[in-house]
Amino acid sequence: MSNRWVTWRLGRRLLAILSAVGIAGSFWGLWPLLPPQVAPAVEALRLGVLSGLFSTLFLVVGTLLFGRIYCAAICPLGVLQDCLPGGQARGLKYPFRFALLGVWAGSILLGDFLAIRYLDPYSLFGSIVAGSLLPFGVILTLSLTLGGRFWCRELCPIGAGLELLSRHSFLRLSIDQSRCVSCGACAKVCSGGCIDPRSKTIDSGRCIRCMNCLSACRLGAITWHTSKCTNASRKSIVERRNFLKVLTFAAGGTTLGALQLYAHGRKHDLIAPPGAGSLSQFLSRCTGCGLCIRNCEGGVLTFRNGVAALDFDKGMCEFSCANCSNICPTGALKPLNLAIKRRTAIGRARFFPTRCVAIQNGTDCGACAEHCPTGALRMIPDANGRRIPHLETALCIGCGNCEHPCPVRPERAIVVEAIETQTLAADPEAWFRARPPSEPEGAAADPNTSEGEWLL
Amino acid sequence: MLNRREFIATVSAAGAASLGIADDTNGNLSEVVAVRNGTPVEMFRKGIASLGGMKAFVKPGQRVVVKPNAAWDRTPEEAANTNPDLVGEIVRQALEAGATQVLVFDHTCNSERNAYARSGIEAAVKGAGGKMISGADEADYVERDCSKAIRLKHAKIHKAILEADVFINVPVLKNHGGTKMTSAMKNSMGWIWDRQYMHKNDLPQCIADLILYRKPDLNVVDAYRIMISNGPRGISKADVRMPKYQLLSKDIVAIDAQALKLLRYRPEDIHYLQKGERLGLGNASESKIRVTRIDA
Repeated sequence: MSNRWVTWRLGRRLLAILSAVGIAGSFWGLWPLLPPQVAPAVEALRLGVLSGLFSTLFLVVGTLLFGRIYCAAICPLGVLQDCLPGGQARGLKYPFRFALLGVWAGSILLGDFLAIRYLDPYSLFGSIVAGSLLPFGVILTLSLTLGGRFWCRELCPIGAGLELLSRHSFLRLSIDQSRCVSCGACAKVCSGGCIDPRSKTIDSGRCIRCMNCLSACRLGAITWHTSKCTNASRKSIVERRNFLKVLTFAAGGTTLGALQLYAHGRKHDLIAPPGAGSLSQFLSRCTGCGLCIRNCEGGVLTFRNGVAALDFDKGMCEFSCANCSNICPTGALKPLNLAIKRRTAIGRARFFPTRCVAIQNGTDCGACAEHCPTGALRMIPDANGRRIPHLETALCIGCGNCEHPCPVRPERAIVVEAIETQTLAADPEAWFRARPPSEPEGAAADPNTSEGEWLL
Repeated sequence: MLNRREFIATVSAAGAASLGIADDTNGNLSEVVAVRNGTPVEMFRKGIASLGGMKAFVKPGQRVVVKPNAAWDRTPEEAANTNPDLVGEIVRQALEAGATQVLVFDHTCNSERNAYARSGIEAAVKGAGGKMISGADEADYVERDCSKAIRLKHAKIHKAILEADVFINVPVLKNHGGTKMTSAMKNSMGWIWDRQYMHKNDLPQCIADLILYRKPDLNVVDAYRIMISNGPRGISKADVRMPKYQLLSKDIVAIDAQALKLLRYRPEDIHYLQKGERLGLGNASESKIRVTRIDA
């Protein structure tokens, strides 16, 4: 009897695998096929990015139809937890998840993403992929001690938000009261902690549609129903005491979310990826999912204070790559075409002559100028004929192609400093056309020189 | 007046010469073949023929490594990398001469994937039947010592260079902000792991030292397109000229001493030339070089 429900569970797993493959491919730079994620979608919607509207609509409509399928199969942190060993499932006495939802809502309304970076399951997953061990350790510990998907059941603010929608979903799982013998087999395998075998009810809001119960019930008492023909536990929502509890926690969380803005401050000197616009704007928008970090060709992007930033110890921004700005799912980085990206100044190089090898040792170096893609940094002969770095700030885009290869330690002779607002640097071709080189280098080596006199 | 470093260099070079370690080109004339006015492939065919053909360098069953300049995420027209057709032709001829494998790599400056692809070199090598290998993995570099070296006493050299029977060095001729010119000798920076050490410790001396670890058996300087300013990366096509030249020589110093004329540089401005000559790597002075000129 229960066999036909195995197919449902299998379907859920297939969808989960499909979205996991999509996510993995996106993070490993194979394709940009990220399934819609709640926090980035909401953030993109707030910023007026069209894709945010589509993703949000998809998630809202999907949840209203089927319930929390996002949790069941699309959320990468949820799917990850399905793969972890789980201990005996235990719940919490108070609905802390609504407090965290409050923190989330509070900070998104006030425009700061500090809280989101540590609360959004998709972004947490991203930071795990990018190599953060702490969130993985926490999730694994929770799973081992308090049962699989403890995060989803009791803590996740996204889950809590979807719970409010899922209560009204058109399709839901419910128990046939006449068949059920209250054996509790379903509750044992339930990931959502939403089944009460004694009252023979399933809380549709808390149900994450894992469908484990469907095949666990040997009597086939659990089935999909439409919201019309079910007597599922609606009273838990309207029950006054519970409602007040939820409200109290949400309000407390929102206050916390607002407070952390002040605790956080805006003092940062990090270098944001191209497309960020301004630093403060970026800090309030980046959810720290790390998708850009994984897709960075120069290997220069890393986490700084929970957001993506450039670290020139690790690498340098590749001149022909604009992956970060084009893959960002939140709109924290605006998509830039390559021509604009190549002129977008994300920082400003500063030269320290007292540290420079070419000046201090008097030996040829030129590591900085060698890599500079715009000609902002060139080696110019000084009075003694030594070739020393010359910095033209108007051309500098702060890409770090000078800082990264500079051999001087502990502090490099050329350092890219953070700027608040990203600006458009001068166009190198036009700039150099207007200022032809004074050195008569190779003046005679013109296309026609292979005729006539030999040059050597 | 010699400073301490130059004194040591002179003494050690003299010592090496008296022990007979120095290159056999010292004392004899170094031959440089200059070809002009053809495609890179045509010019190479003419040039290599005048050196006795590829068979004079590659014997059947030998393993060959070809080291172009493929360091930059730039197109062939931008002249930051060696011409891909030339690299392909060298690979093809080496295989035709009986090489069992022809490996090609560079330790790139831009991301390897982009540089190999945009330079056109990866496609040309594959098309010719050679194998493009990575130069971006530190594990492929082997620690070596060299007591003759003056500043670069230890270096991690790419194993493909150390293990090959025949080593063909194929740079492109360019202006260079740091050393004024990059050609055959400076192309060595693509077969060492730690370039920053070189930049920090008298770059021209380190370049000369590095060639002591393994001297190329044949050098081919691609001067079909050359970068006359803003090298080695270049800003735009305004930096590029097209003299349609190609130089071939067994002597890595002599070939650079000739190549600099295409850029109108003075030999004394290219500091690694004298340092290379002092180490016995080859001849820099005009009187010890014989140039064969061929119109393709």
